[in-house]
Amino acid sequence: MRGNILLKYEDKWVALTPDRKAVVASGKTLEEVAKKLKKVKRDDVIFHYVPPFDGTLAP
Amino acid sequence: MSKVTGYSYLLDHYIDPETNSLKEVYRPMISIRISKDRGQISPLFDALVDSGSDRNLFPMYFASKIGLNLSKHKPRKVYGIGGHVISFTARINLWIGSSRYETEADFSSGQQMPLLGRNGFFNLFKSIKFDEKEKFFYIEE
Repeated sequence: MRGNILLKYEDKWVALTPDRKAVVASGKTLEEVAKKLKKVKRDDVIFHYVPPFDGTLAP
Repeated sequence: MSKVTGYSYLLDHYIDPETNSLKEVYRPMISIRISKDRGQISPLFDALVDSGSDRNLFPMYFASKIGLNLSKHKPRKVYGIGGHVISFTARINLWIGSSRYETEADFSSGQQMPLLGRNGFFNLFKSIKFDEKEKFFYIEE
């Protein structure tokens, strides 16, 4: 379920609700997400990076 | 008496080049916060528990959120597949829930995925075990 809500956010940062069921804000950068969060006055979020889907991860 | 806490892997996706279809991939990640001394604490963020990383490596954004000024710190090269990024090291507190661990982390503006490595995370604990079948990992303190 949590994965499905992230499908629209490939290679982006998202701010998730504490239960991880919804995305509050998203952006290409953390700064962009933080700016959007300020507007909606939310800080009870979890920042999560969604890697690109066109490959696997080997950081 | 040791304490063992289990954490569920988190679901992500990738496209299988053989079939061009979207596949699920579960990754060992944990939500953490960081802080400096008794200063401001960062927001919660998911970090990959990565036994292949030598050290902790976080996006520079989180350093700024806890008031770290790394401009006078010596740069460090961090190599990964496809090249390297320049990072700056700082002593930090790492929080898992209400538990605080004093450790060290590197911060880089070239890093997206936060990484928890062996030196700075794994070495804080007695053991970290991965159960790929059940998609859980267990931290033993």
